[in-house]
Amino acid sequence: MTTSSCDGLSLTWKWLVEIWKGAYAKRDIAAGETICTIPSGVILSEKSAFQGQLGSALEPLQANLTTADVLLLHLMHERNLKESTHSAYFNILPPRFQTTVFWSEEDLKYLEGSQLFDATKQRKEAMGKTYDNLFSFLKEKNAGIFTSEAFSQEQFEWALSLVWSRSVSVKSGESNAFIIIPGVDLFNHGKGMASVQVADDGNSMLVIAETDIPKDTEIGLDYGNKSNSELLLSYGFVLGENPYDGVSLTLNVDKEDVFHAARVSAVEKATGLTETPFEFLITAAGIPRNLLYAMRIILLKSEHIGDLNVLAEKGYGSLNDELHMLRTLGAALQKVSSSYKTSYEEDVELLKEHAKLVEEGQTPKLSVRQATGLSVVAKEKAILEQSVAVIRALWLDYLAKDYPPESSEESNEESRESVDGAVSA
Amino acid sequence: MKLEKSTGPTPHTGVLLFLMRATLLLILLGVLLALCVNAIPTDTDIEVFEEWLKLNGGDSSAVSFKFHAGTIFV
Repeated sequence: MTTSSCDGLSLTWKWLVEIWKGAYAKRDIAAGETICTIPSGVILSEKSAFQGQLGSALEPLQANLTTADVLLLHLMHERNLKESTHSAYFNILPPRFQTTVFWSEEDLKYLEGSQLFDATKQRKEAMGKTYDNLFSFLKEKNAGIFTSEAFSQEQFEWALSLVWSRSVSVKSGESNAFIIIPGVDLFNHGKGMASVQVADDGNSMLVIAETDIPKDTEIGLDYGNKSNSELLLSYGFVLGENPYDGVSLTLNVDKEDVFHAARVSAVEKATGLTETPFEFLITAAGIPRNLLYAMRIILLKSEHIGDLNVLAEKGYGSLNDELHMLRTLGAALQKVSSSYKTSYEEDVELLKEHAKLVEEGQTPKLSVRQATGLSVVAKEKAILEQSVAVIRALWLDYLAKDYPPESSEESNEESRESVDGAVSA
Repeated sequence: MKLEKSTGPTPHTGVLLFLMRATLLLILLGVLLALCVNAIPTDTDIEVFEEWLKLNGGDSSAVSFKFHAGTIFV
C-alpha cells in the first residue's frame, strides 16, 4: 500500500484504486493441514440477517423477499452501522469493484460486440431493475428503516458486487443460498492449492491445504473453470493464460418440431448434458465434439430421422446432413464474428502499440481496463477465426475423402482424430 | 468607448477569483469527504480483522493477508 504524498488529485485517485489482496503462507504448510478456521458466527447470511439488528424489520417482509434480497439488505445495513459486529471485516473490503459493470462507457467500447459486453449490459440493467423493484416494495410497505440515504443505489450496487465476487453458494433446503465467509474471500483464484470445507462439528468453515505449500507462497482457492470474460465480469481480473477462454454457443431444439423429444433425448445421450438449452464452449483447444454431436442430431432432416439412434451413439449421418451441419455451424460463428466493431488484426495492432508505449515508459493511449478488455475480446476473435478455418478444412476433407468414416466406434474415433484436426475432446 | 489594457484585478475580478477559489476548495473538500466515506483499507485494518477473527474463535495464524502493490486501474 502506497503512502502517497498527495501532490495531485490524479495521484490520489491512483492511490484509491491501488488495492488488492492475497493470502500468503506464513510458514511451510503440509497437505491436509488447516490453513484457516472461520467460525460460523461471523458468516454473513440470511440467518445472520434475521438474528441481527435488522431482523425485526425483515421479519414482516420475509414472505416477499428472496434470500438474496435479505442478504443484500443485511450487507448494506451492516456496512452503514457505526458499530457493526462486522466492522473489522467491512473495513478491509474495497470501496469500489473493478468488474465490468463499473466500467465507463468509454472503456466498454473496447468490449463491443463481445459476449462479455452483452453480459455486462444485462448485469447493469438487472442491477437497476432489482434495486427499483426491491425498494419500491419496501417503500410500499412503509419499511421506514430502509431509507434511500442508507440504502442508496450505490450501496446496493456495492453489496450486489460483493455477493457476485465474494459469496459462496451453499445448499439451503431445496435451493441454493449465498453466504459471505469473512476471510475465505481474501484468497485469490488458484487451482489445486486449497479448498473450503465445513468442520466436522459444523461450527466453522475450514480452508484446507490440498498440497504442500511452501512458506511465502500465495495460496489460491479454486473459483472454478472460468474464462477471462467470466472472471472480468464477476471478479474484475483476468489470467495471463486461460484455457477456458472461448466463445459459448447455445443450442435450442425447436419446440414445434414433432421430433423435439426424440432429438433432446438423443442429444442428452450423445453429450451427457441434461439441461436445455444446451451450452457449449469453443476454446483455443478446438470445437468440442459434443457440440458436433448435438448439431448433427438437432439439424438432422426429418426424412433421415431414422438415423437418430446412430447419431445418439455418436455416429455420423449422411454426407449431405454432415455438410449441412458444418455450413450451419460456420454461419453461426461468422454471425458472432460480424458483431464485433473491429477485426482481430486491428485489435492486435492496438495492443502491440500499447505494449510498446508501456515498455518505453510512455503514456499509453489505452487505460489498463481498455487494454485488458481488448485482449479478452481479441482472444475470442482469434478462437472464432480458428474455428471457422477448422470447419472449412473439415468440409473439404469430407468432400475429398471417403464418407462416412468407418462404422465401428473405435474406427470412428481414429478417423475423427485424423479428420477433425482441431476438434477437441 | 475606449478600451484600456487592464493593469490588475478590479474589484469585480477579485470577486470572481474568490468564487473560483471557493469552488475549488469545495471540490477538494468533496474529494476528501469521498475518500473518508470510501475509507482505504490499511495493513492495520488487516491486523484488526485477524484479531477480530481470533476473538470470535477463528484462526488465521498460518496465513498472512496482504495488499498487492502496483495494481492500478484508472
